[in-house]
Amino acid sequence: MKIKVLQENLLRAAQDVGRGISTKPPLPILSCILLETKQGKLSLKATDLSVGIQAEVGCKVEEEGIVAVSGRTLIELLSTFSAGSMEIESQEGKMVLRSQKTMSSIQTVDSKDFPPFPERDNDGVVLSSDQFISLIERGGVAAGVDETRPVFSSMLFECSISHIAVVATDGYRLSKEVVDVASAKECIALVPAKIMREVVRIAQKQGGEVSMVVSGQLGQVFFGLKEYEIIVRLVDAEFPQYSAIVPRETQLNIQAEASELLSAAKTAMVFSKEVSGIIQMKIEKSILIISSAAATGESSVEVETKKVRGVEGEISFNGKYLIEFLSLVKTGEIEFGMNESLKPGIFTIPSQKNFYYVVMPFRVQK
Amino acid sequence: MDLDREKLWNTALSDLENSFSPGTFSTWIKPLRIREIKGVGDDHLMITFVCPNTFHIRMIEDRYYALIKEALDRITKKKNNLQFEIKIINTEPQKVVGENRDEATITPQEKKAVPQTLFQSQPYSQPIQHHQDQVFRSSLHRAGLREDYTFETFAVSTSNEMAHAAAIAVSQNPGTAYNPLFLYGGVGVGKTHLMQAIGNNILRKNADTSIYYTTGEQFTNEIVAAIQQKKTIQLKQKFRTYKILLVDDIQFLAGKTSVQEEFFHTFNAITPAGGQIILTSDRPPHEINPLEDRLKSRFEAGLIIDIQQPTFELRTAIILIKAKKLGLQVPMDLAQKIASEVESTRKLEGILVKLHSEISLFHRELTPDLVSTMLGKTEQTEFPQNTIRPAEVIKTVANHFHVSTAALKGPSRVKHLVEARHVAMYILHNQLKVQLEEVGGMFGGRDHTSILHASNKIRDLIGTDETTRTNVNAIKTSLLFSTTV
Repeated sequence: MKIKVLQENLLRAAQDVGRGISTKPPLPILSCILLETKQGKLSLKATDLSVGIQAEVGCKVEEEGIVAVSGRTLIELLSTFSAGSMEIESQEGKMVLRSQKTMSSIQTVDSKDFPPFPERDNDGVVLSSDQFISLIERGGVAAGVDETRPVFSSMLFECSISHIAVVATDGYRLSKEVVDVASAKECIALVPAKIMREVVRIAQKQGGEVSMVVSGQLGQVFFGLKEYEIIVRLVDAEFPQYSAIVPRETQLNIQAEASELLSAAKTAMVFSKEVSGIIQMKIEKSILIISSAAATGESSVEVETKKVRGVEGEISFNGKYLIEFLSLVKTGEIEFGMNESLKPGIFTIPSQKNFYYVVMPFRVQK
Repeated sequence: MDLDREKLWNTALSDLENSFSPGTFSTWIKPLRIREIKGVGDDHLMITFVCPNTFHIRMIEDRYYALIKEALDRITKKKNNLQFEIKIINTEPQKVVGENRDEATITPQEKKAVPQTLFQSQPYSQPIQHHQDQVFRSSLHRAGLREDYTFETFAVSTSNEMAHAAAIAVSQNPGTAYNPLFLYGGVGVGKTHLMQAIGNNILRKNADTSIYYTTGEQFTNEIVAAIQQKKTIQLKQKFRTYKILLVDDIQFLAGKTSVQEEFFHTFNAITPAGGQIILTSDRPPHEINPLEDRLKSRFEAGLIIDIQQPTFELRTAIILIKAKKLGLQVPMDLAQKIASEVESTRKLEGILVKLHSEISLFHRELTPDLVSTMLGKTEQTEFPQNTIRPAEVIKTVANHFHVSTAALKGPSRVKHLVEARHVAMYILHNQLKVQLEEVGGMFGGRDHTSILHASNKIRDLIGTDETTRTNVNAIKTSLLFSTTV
């Protein structure tokens, strides 16, 4: 293999692909990035067998070829090179990288040992990267991080002929976002939240369109972005039937300005950290009082609201959950609905009916 | 079949381990599982593997197929076709079952602030959490079940595979598969183990199921106590609310009319409501006497399965399982030695406990000698040598094998005669301690070496062959019986 490529492009691709390498690879080949020339482009691949990431970089191919080298060494080396054109050439047992003044060579690993990537077996759906990012960021916001409980650290994709929804829960709260995109077939897919955040990161940089293919037969889901393809092993578990816990009707509803509520919540969070993050919301007439109390002090902030329905109510929950929701919304009106103080409360955005966020309250004894 | 698949693959794995680097082996080969073995013609097998993900399939088909096939060909001595597939993941949209199935309800707790969860019942596919584990334990305790009596610790062989399959079916579909399930068999064949394993499995799926395990005797006592304390109504209600009722040793109900009547009503209350009843007994329903006909017919309406005495192989497997539980490393040859000399499962357990205490308390090493002394200590049933006459032995053996004494003593070497003759020689020489020459004289002047050969042959066969052992035991029993009467 002999190619000419821009250092900045290659480094970016190698860094993104390198995220697919596990921290403790069981085999030397699984710590490698596979470089392969493909129709005038250079493709980079890495996998830990549950996730596979592939990126393409434009380059000038002088001689076709395929080579596997340690991902970490490659990334480290490339990041020291100066920007601009560089040359890569594979020789017997090593890969030589030449920049203007630098010349390095990395020992190669037999590329035949590199596991072949599965290929898409159906067409799937295409959505804009904005739709995709919104789906994952908002629909997936409630996903937990405890990977020993796969269902609670995954995102559920629900594809139907008229729309796609992403649902996530960590057992204490639940989020769901729906976008109107036609999908060829109805299907569901449970995907680890951690890798989805990675895909979003790439989508934010790439823009354009995102294609998604779910294959139950292969047990994989494919995400295609401009120059990237990410293959993820589906989580083999059953997502809880969440629709039953979403309050359909609420007796008490208020509307408030998100930014105002956010700053009130942040004040309350100062003391709530000591008491497992509990903050209290009390609704009286048209005033919402957000308060917290701990041994070291207490605070309470009043927020003007627009009462939609109901008289008064009181509910306590983890302030962190409220802040995460409000940070997503940033500005504009939000609506909060609740029934009893021990039943789940629901946050929505009146102007965007395609998103909701359900939070389970704390039970506080006085 | 499960055992076969696992055994074959484990053997293949230890073979394949030598052909790969440790990394390659543990990444590509070890995670595979055999899903199915199908015979195709006489000398071909179709083996289907399940791979953890798609990367494995292509990697293995391209690079490691030949090595795996070779190893399997060597072990099975057949030509194998290998197929690889991954576990297909369901991507069909979920159907909403019931309106409020997962509705979050509040359980009162004493803590100051309790984070409440959205989902009360969590899907099974998650690893059981500590809390759930405790819930499971406490429900086991409530039901009166033992934690160690599970399907995993139950060894299966031809003598009990039917019962095992039925038990699994019942545990998966309680109330519908076989109702009632009636297991009967002698002591130590695993009736109670199987019954408790069913309860165990049901609780593991849903810790809230109301299960009650009791024995026939306990049931009787409870009824007697309730009558004394005038609390029969409460007791009736208690029994009738169970979804799963396990009654061990139901034969204790024989002859107790009012207890039988109460049980009859309990039975009638539980089964139509979709409940499951499982019973064990040491004899089939029609032999439990006196038992009311209406109960008898109800028992017979379900599935009745008898569990046979464990075979030699099964006993060996049981020893290995029990030894593992005690933390004892019993090598295969010693396990077989114990299994060949001890028939009762309970005694097996006793010997293992003794071995365990010898090793842990006196720091002895597990050697064949130690096992022999242990076995020696348990053999108390001496054959009364003086009370049995040799002629009687020959007659009994002849009767048992349906041959004439003359033919038994005669020169003919027809197969079944030879077998009978050898058994007779064994009993005379080995058990009655009759001199070799004397025995030779009884069988038409045969040489003492022939007698020795026959006697040794049967002694060895007893250890390995089920029919020989049953034959010899049956003859010994009838001999003992004839002398005591």
